[in-house]
Amino acid sequence: MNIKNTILPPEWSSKIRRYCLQSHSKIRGQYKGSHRSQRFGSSLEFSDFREYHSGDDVRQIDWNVYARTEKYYIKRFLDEQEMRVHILLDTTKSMSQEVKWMVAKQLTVALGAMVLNQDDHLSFSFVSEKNVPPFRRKGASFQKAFEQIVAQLEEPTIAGDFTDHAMKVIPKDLTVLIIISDGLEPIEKWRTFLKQTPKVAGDIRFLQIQTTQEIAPAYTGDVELLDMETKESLNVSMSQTVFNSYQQLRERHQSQLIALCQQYGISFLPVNMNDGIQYILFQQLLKLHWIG
Amino acid sequence: MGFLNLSFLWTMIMPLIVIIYYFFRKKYIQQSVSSTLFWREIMKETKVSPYLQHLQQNALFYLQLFALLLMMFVLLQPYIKTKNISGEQIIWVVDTSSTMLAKEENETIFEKHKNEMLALSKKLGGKAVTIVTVGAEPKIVLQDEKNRARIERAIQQLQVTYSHEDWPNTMDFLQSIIGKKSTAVYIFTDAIEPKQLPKRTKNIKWIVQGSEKKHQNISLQRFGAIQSAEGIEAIAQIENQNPKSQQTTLKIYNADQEEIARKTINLKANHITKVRLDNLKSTDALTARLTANDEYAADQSMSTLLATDSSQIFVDQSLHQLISKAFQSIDSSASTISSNQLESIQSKSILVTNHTDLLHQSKNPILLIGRDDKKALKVDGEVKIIDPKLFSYASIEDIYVEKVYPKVRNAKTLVTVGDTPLIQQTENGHIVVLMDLQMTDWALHPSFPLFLWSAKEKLTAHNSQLGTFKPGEKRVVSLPESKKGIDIYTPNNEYIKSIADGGSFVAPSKPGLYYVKTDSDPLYFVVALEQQEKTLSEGTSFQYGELSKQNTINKDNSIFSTILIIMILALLIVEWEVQRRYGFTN
Repeated sequence: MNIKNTILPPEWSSKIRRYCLQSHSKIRGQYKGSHRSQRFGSSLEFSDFREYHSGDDVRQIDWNVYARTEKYYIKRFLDEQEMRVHILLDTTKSMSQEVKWMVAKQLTVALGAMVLNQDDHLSFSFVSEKNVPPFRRKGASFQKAFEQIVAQLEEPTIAGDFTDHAMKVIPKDLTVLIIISDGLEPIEKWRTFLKQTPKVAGDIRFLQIQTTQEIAPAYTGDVELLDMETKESLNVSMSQTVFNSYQQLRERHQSQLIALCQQYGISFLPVNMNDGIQYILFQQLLKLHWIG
Repeated sequence: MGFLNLSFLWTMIMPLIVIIYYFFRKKYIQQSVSSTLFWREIMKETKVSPYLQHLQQNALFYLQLFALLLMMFVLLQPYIKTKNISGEQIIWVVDTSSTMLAKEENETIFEKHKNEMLALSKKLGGKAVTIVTVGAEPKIVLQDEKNRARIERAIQQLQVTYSHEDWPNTMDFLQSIIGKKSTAVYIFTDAIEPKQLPKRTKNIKWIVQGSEKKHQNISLQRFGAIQSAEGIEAIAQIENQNPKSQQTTLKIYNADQEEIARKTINLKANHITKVRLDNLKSTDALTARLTANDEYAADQSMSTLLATDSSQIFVDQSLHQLISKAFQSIDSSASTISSNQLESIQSKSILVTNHTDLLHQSKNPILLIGRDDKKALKVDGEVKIIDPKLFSYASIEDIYVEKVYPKVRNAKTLVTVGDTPLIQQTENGHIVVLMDLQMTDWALHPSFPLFLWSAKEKLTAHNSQLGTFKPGEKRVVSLPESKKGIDIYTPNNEYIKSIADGGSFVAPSKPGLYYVKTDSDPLYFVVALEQQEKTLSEGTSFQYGELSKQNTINKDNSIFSTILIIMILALLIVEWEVQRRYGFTN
């Protein structure tokens, strides 16, 4: 039971706790949080002094300054607000490859833990046939609960396309939207989906999950390829030409995805699952300042 | 039930291949992938048009159907009508007579026919050819040969044999070869009359390739010479076969090919001119040569041997009558004379006697039968030949000998009876038979006259000539012994060939003067063209006879079958590939 409910090795949790999700987005939640806000508020972070004008709160007058200068100054502090982070996990069958699914869940948990740890608001959703209410929690105390929910996610069963249903499960007014998917859907579908995302979030991140097998398939001879999602089978006789054209098609798809993300201001990061969660988390994400 | 072509059993491989092919048909390893998004697109590239797609999906079906149709097609045995040689059997009859050397434009008729044959050999379409040459006797050069290279080689090696073509004999010979098969007989000759061909035309087609040109010819018909007191006298007969009068030069050469006389002659059109030449220097043989502008050179020279005194045979009266009878049957000029006259006989004549002293006195060759100076002694034992040179035609080992005279000294023993010599040859070459006819039953055996003939030939062998031969004639001649074998040369000392002994003498085929090299004087002989070969007749090309209908169709299906089989094999490979790529699409 314990094993099933935890995905990340326990010794990692302290390591993860040191990091937090970085975002320059100005859209914040309405609740107090641990992130500095552009607005003035009541945090301990000093911002500046300002002359007192009638109407200002007299409680904010800095009496020490008045004693020295005999002028009224108001001492201002920056406000601290929460971030609203949403993680959207692709749970279509194409993700059901063992390594892929495992690492995808690990990434979800790790990122979610970082968010909760910072007392930010985390919501998590996936496309599902059943109407599962999305996870919405705030505060470090929900880390375990979140990990458990992710761990108990069943193997992907959704047959349809992820992009068709994704919009329905994303809440609005998000600071950060993290999309974890393999991106293996026609580019047109991605376009319709990604086009709508800027409306709901200020900072969108697309984590594309790939496997080595997808990047450079190592099949030889005659293979009957079985699509996990559509159950379609396709007979392919592997040869250098077939391999080459596969590479071409894949690269075209990737560059189209990148172009699409640029167009809608989405940060795009393709990661190879076979590199391992540690490398992805602490090297790649860190380097791109997704976390810090 | 039977099979016509069991050799096609190898095609069993074809169904086997298919079976094996289905055993090892492509097995796809299942592999699940996240998405076949890209793979589908790769495959889409090959699925362009709906027709192509349909073909692709049903490729195996169509290919197999096509293979079966091809099979059916092969079984139908398709053929194309080509200008190939018809007939089940093809016989090329090639005239190798001298007249084939008449020139037509730049090549001889023979060469022209050879080229025609080479051209025909390319159109055989795998049929067997028999090549028969016609000379003095028909000869099979090739029988039922299908290999084109071998046919071509045989054609290249054909040569003119100069001997006159013997058509009646050849036709009989051909009939025996033809049998009941439908046959196309090609006759390559200069001239043949349709009536010379057999009447039978059922299943035989005669295709005669003649020479339709009227050739210019001046022919040296006859040439002879005799030795007289004033020297050699020669007579030549020259025929101008042209419709125009012409001038020619007649040159006479001696045995050493030195020109000894020359005469310019005017020849009237279609007329025979006689030329006489007197007082020529003495020689062994004469050759006459015409220098004339004509198209047939073989009949422009002739050689003749000078008639020398023929050796006569004189038989001693005292000998048994059978002996003189036997010699008279061999040589009608043999005569019987009394013992006293023998000594006065001129040299070179053979003396048959029992006077032993003559062996030393006379210069003539002597056949001694019995001895008059010694008494015969009883003998017991079997007759045994020691030296077989006199008995190559008949063995005498089965005769009975009662008594035998003592042997002569300094003589080689040829035959013994028991341990005693029976027949000897002296150092001078005389032959000694050490018995009388009364002492043996030899006269009753066929070996007796044959022995006498051999002895006579042996004793006259020192002549300087062998006689006149037809081209390529086989005749038994008696030749002097030679340890090295016998070589034949032309007067220009050009080596022609070697023969083992006189029994296997075959004259060269080219007409002219030749000599046999011996230890002493050369033995001259002449190969003369036959008289019929000196006239050129104008021939025609014609076809005659017909093959039965079913055989006139040229079934040239050999190429077809090969092509079809190759196509089927190619199809199988294509099927394999299709199967490999798309698998079973149902």
